[in-house]
Amino acid sequence: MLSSPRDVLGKVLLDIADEDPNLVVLTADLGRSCRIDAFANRFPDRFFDVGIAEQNLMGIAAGFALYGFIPVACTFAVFTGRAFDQIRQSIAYSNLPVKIVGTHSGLSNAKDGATHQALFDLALFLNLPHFTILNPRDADDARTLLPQTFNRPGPAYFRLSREELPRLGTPPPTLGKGQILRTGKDVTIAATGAMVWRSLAAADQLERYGIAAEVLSYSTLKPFDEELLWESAQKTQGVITVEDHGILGGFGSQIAFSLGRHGLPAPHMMGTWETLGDTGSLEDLYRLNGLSVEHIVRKVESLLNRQRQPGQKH
Amino acid sequence: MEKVVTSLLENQCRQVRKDILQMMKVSGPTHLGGSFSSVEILVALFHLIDYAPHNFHARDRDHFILSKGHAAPAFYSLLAGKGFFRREDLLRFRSTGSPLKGHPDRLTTPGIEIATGSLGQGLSVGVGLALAGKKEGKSFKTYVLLGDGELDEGQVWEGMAAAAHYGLQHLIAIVDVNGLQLDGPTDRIMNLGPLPEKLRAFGWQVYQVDGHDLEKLVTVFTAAARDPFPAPKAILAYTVKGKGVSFLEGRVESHSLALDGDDFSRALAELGGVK
Ligand SMILES: Cc1ncc(C[n+]2csc(CCOP(=O)(O)OP(=O)(O)O)c2C)c(N)n1
Repeated sequence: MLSSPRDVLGKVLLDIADEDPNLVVLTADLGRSCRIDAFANRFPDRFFDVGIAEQNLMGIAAGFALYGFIPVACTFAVFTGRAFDQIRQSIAYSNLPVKIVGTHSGLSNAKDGATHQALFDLALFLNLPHFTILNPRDADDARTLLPQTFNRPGPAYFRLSREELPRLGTPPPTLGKGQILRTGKDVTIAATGAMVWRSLAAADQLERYGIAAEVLSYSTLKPFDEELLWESAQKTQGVITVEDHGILGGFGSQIAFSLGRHGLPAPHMMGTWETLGDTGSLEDLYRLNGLSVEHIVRKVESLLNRQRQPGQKH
Repeated sequence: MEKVVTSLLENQCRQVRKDILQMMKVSGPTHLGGSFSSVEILVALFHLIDYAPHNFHARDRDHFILSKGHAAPAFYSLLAGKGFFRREDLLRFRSTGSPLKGHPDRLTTPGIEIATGSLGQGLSVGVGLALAGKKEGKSFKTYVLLGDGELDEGQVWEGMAAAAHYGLQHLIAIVDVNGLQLDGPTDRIMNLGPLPEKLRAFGWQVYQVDGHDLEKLVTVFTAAARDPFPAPKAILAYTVKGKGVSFLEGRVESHSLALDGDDFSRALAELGGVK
């Protein structure tokens, strides 16, 4: 069964709004695309569409937070970059509880092309103090995790794919924790968001070749669960990171940093590189950027081959 | 306004300017020009509004955002006067670990509503506060102080449009129109004039005032706050950059600098000497 994380956003907000009168929702003319129109219809006095003005969106959200509301500011992930200075100064610096939603993350806005693809948002958000950052792996994951951030102080960033992702039926995540979705002794595949199902599919294939891959899923990128990573990395022969984001400054970089400061070898990073994105079918784009299931399989094989002694089998 | 009150506020303005000079003395080159031009605006405004430690955490008090965050020295002097921190703290301005940062910081400086310094952001925050107040049916005022050069930022005009769209009657933007920005005169760097017409076209009620005349400032702030017209209010306060020290007035160099030796003494003497 397929479902997109962005499709649950509206439902989550409706649930929270019923319980918390302080929730208000804002957007910059992307209410329908962010799937919050149901919220707008049900709570018209708690919904503000500020027009196509992302900088203003973030500032107004900060003002609502100063007054005591919990504002949720929704736009495409790529356009948060347009308001980064406002997020940095008007939200992060004053540690205000603004929840920023960036939908259509990574390459998932495939048909709109490079102008609408978000491949650097994590590089920006990961460096901001106070932020909680979520990148859910499927719709159920998003449904469990998003509400948990509303009990936390401070700002948050929700990175939501528009891809119709397989519902994985995996155990529900806890905020701030990574999860082992599949255990294995040969290699660690650490994945986030839309790359988790691809990594699990790759692990299935690898199993047929006699390779036991451990799959770590990171739906919370900040705070970052380092212990889980260190334990797995010490057990297997190498770590591969997979993200639909530029490899500099994103999830892979975060893992490289974490492994490095624990004295563990650098990971093999899979992500986009030297590109702003492109137009095409979703699966073509993931393939052209080296991010298909097949690519993950081959990456693991080449990693293990390189480390295998001549003549030795898997 | 009673004569005694006027002379009290005049004294306060002199004190604020002297404080700014002392802050410059301990910390090096400082935004003197835009701090000095805003002094009467701030003193008159803070004379009127109830902005003090005792009610700082109340939601429905009047709010103030220094969008032109580089005028922090003037604001800090006022906050010290209001008892948000000790006057001695002013002399730790910009020193390592001091609560008084180069630009306003909500988390370390008591009395600061929100961080500013990267220009152009304060009005949007003010719109958010005023909109929240309107949603809750409150009538507290939200004041935002901007520079005229700051109006170059597109976000300011996004905020202007939104404030009019939402009919934010209790939002009051004050523009310190000193005619100079960092690189030169505002009409030569980026001419946005005529400002009154532009603001009216954006749906704002416009007031204009001599930004160094305390009595007129008090009158116009009072009028704007009471004005029942359901639109945001802009007060264009015409000022002189560097006001108060003759050899800084109207000079683009006054934007950020340090005065030393004789210049420092002369400036202080013009403001009535140390006291
Ligand atoms: C976004 C941003 N760009 C540039 C600056 C650097 N800067 C600081 S003050 C200033 C000029 C401001 O002019 P104005 O608003 O007229 O202020 P005033 O003359 O009252 O000091 C500039 C360009 C900044 N602080 N923020």
